[in-house]
Amino acid sequence: MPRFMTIWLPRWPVQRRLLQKPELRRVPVFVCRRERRGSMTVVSWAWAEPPPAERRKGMTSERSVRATIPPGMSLAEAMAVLAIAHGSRACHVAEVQPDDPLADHESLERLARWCRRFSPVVGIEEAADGSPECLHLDVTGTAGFFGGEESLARTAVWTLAARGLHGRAAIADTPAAAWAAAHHTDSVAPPGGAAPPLVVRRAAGGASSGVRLASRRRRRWAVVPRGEAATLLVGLSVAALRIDAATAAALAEVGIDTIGGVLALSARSLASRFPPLLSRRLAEFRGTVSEPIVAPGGEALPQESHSFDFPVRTADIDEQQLIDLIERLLGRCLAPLVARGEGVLAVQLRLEHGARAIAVAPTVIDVGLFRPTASLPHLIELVRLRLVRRRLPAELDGVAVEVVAAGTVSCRQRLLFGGGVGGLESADADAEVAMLLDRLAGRLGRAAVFEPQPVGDAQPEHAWIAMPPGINRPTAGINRPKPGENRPARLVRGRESRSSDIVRGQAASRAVPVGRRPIWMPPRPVPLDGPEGEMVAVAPDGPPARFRFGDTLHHIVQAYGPERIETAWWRGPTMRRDYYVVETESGERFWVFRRLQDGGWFLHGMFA
Amino acid sequence: MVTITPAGTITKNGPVFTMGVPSAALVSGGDLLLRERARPVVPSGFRPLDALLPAGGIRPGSLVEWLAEGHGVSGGGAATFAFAVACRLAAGGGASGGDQARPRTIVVVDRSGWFHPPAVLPWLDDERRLVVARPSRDDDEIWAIDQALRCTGVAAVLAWPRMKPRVSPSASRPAGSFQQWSTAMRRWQLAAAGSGAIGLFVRPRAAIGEPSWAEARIAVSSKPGGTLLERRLRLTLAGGSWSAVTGGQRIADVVLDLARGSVGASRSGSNMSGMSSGKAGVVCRAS
Repeated sequence: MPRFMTIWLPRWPVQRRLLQKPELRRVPVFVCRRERRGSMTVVSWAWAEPPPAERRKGMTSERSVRATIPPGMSLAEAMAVLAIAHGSRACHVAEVQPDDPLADHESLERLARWCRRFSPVVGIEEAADGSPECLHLDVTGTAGFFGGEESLARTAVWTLAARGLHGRAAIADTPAAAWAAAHHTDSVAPPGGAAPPLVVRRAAGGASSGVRLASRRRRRWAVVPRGEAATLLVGLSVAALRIDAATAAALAEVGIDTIGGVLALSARSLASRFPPLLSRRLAEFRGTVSEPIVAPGGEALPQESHSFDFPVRTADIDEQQLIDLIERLLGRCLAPLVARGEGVLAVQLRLEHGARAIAVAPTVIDVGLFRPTASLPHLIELVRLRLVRRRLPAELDGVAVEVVAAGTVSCRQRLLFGGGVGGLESADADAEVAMLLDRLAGRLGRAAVFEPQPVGDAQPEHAWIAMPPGINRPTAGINRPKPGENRPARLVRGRESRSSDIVRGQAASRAVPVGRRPIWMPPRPVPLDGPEGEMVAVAPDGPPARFRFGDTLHHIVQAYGPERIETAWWRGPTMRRDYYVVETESGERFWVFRRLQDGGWFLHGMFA
Repeated sequence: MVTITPAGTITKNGPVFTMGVPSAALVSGGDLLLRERARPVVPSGFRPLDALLPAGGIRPGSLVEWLAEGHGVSGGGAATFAFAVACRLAAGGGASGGDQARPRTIVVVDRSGWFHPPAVLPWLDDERRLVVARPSRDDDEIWAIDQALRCTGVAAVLAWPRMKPRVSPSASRPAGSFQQWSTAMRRWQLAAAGSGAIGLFVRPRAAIGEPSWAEARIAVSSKPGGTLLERRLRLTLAGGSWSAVTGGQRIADVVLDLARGSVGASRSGSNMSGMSSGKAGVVCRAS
């Protein structure tokens, strides 16, 4: 009996953009289609990280998303709804991006290739409106490698989460049932659990389940046991059958709003009364009609594999031999790419083992690069760096190398008599640095290597973001003075009060006040009223005079400030601080602030 | 000229006997100094600092230690100053008359996670590039510094190895075994010598007792006075492989312009340096 897993990536067009530009997570993002008459229609939208106050009130973004702005609403109307829910400020910071279904589909294809780690057969759903958000995987027999279906679905969700993607997964007998379950993972009970499906109970008249549903943590994966799709999913809404709105309305007219209601109808009356789409969807749901899994098309990226005649014990194989084998496979993958003028951007290495004896998932090593390369030694070095840090299993059945992403390599012409032109040298240096970054990211992790970029946020902790290197700097230059421009030095001794918040564009120019930010900042402010430090003397409503940090007493001879930094009401818990740059009698400088709500003092940095 | 022969006899008039060692293999201290002097140096951008340094600047492929006050968690200005120097080193040799352009990437290896880039981001222009690596383990840190120093595209590597600025001072003792770090430093020196990158390490003052492979160890202490945008710092040459041959003064005062750091290749030569208080004329003389 076949089994299928469906991975649903809600609001894929937005998720894809957030992945490319992490700074958009803080603002509402609308992906809009331009209609023929010039009006804009919302295709998808999300606010990944709404202000904390909103969360505290219980209005999580998802809930408000579902409650307020359905796809197809006009942008003007959506803005009005947003303003009512989150305040008009949210509309000012909102990011509106044009629709690009082709790029959405391409990136989903890339993800589908990446998902081959879970199953060899991965396809993209056929969406009626042309914007697919789901991947179908044929997981017949592969779940055992991951320790069961529950574990496979959980692994899929968490591996996606590690990539920064929000996904939901469900496993069922048919792609249609898995699709329905993936869209309602909350409502499907864990297998083996004593509790019957909550929705079923609610459908049967149980009133208490609704409360428990609200208090429970959202489940992001579900497994529908074999043959139980019809019984377990009866409580779901008819929309989970992937029917169009007209059919759903027709069903609602006769009082049917759950899958159970549709299943209860006889096939003959169904065919005569409703559009043929419903019959087909129902057959797909039951499994009487098989639904083909459409593998992503497009140009295939090269992949090579080598399987041993019999399992090889890892103890018998030298690391160098393994590297040599991988090098040969990688070389074969590279050849067609190089012919096209392309290079590898991401490569996946799978060490398959124990498939015959014990079910073990293959060891997967993903090597990502910051810019495409066609250099085999560089790739091999990256693979080696990752390989030596992995514990290999006892036996090895085969090795597979697959190029997951490729990009155009920038070529440059070398001079016959070597060097001489500065531009060429700097290009060389850039290539060297790019390789260094790949190596660093390979061992330290991709998140641990970054280029800091300033952003216009008043709160000092959030005044910069870590951008992955190699990406064009979007905000670079905004708050840097131009060569000819002499930035006036601001020496403020009086009250300087300024509240600013999520600011964009030109307003970001006040992001980094020169000379007022410490080079070392502790992860969180150190309270100066405990064992770590203590404010000893302070002028009333004025600068501090003496404080103890550690076991040293610092006498302050000069204080610059206050620089008042406050976040505005729409950011949630209000932050109001008066910052002082203080200089001690030995010339050391610290950054301290007074919390205006209660007058507590904190140390927030050292001008080390 | 003083010559040391293998037999240990020091004479005033050259080697008396060579005991089978070809005389070409014997180098006098003065010759060695002159030979090292002839190698190109990169100006640090701060004239008093250049005067302190035995070579008259920072030589490509060398390490410089900056010894901060106290146990490291202080506001003494060593890290800020080291970054300003790194910025200048990445500025390119064009302004300083060098025949080849310097690479323009600065790598900060920040094991502690305390590095706050907005303090120095205004100093960078579009030409320089700042990359931060945050290793989470000691051996990763050693490896990351080594890799960065090995890269010919990197101008300077700034790190504070063994320094974990913790909030409670009792916990901020240097970490790791002594041997491990001494070996690591030798590795870094060899890596830097191969590529020409310059390693700048901020270390606590207590590290003065440890052996070091740095060319110069400079203690940085802050002086009161100055304004919000100007810091007065006192640099003391506290050791290093070349400090022994320096006969000149070992103390210099600099004023660090916090508004620009060392930004602006055209300005920095005149504006930033030469602001020392009366000791700008520090000259290091050969013995």
